[in-house]
Amino acid sequence: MAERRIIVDGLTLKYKGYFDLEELYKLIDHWIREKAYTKHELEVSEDVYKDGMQVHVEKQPYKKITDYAKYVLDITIDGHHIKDVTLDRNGRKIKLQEGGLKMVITGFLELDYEGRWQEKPMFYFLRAVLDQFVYKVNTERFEAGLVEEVNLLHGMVKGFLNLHRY
Amino acid sequence: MGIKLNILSPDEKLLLKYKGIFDLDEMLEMAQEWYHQRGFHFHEHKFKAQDLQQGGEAYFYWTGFRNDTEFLRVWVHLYFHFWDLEQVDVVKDKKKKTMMRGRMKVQFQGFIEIDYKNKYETSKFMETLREFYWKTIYLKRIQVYGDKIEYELHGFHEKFKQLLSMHNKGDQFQDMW
Repeated sequence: MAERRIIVDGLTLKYKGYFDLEELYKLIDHWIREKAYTKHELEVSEDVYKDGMQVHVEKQPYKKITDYAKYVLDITIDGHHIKDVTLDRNGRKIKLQEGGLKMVITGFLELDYEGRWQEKPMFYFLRAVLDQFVYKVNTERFEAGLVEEVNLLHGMVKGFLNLHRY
Repeated sequence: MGIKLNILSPDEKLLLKYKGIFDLDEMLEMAQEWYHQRGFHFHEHKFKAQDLQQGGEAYFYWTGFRNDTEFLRVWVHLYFHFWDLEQVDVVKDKKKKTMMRGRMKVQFQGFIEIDYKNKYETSKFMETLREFYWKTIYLKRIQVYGDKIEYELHGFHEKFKQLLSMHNKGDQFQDMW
């Protein structure tokens, strides 16, 4: 089994107000594709109630950095009391959604995802020693890269929600 | 028996959950059509339905396989589970239509089966040879192939989202494979 290290633990973004839900999903998917991550959508849930809609989306896109290290982003989006609204701005009718959103991003660095260094106890021990003393510089570089990407995604979504001040 | 590799990790499931009004007939027709269009041998493994006082419950388990090469076979399993089902009449496109209201959960699973013809199971030596072949020589091709099947599964998932007009519809990866 691969070694998964939590590098960014639960970076949360909460928002309440007007937003374009479809555009938000497209933006995140577009970012995932642009940064060369593999699409890995796990769950999509939409419950329609009288007082609004509840949504839950779970994605886990991953990117293989080398044949030993992989970035895995766990993105969870929860929306509650979401209603479709139509706003009138400068004579134009804009269709949006109003409600609450919560997005949580967790970044993992997965090492030895192919399990090559786990077949024998000696390999496992060698890997632990190499990771600790020899490969540490590279691992730290990967961790920094992952933090940067998570912050980029977080900033982008924050910017998207803030830009659309209606 | 061949070796079955899960496209997703063993603890991961590709799920779709929805609560509201949907066209059940159209959905099931679309799913079957997807299997046939892609050359899968379709089979309905399980069908359970019961009418309860608080709403109907139904469970379907569909499966399909496709022999892509002499060595690789693709399996796509689909699990439908419906709760609190009741018939409702809605007006869609100025026409009265009978649809269903309730909760649903659809789970998608994909597998790649290696050596489905069991050609390498005649002896221990052949089994070892097969193990060496797919774990070292053929591994990259299987990984790339698994990637392709995963995107096919996501495309299938997307079809359901389009049908249910979910806000998460719109595949940015539709031209990947």
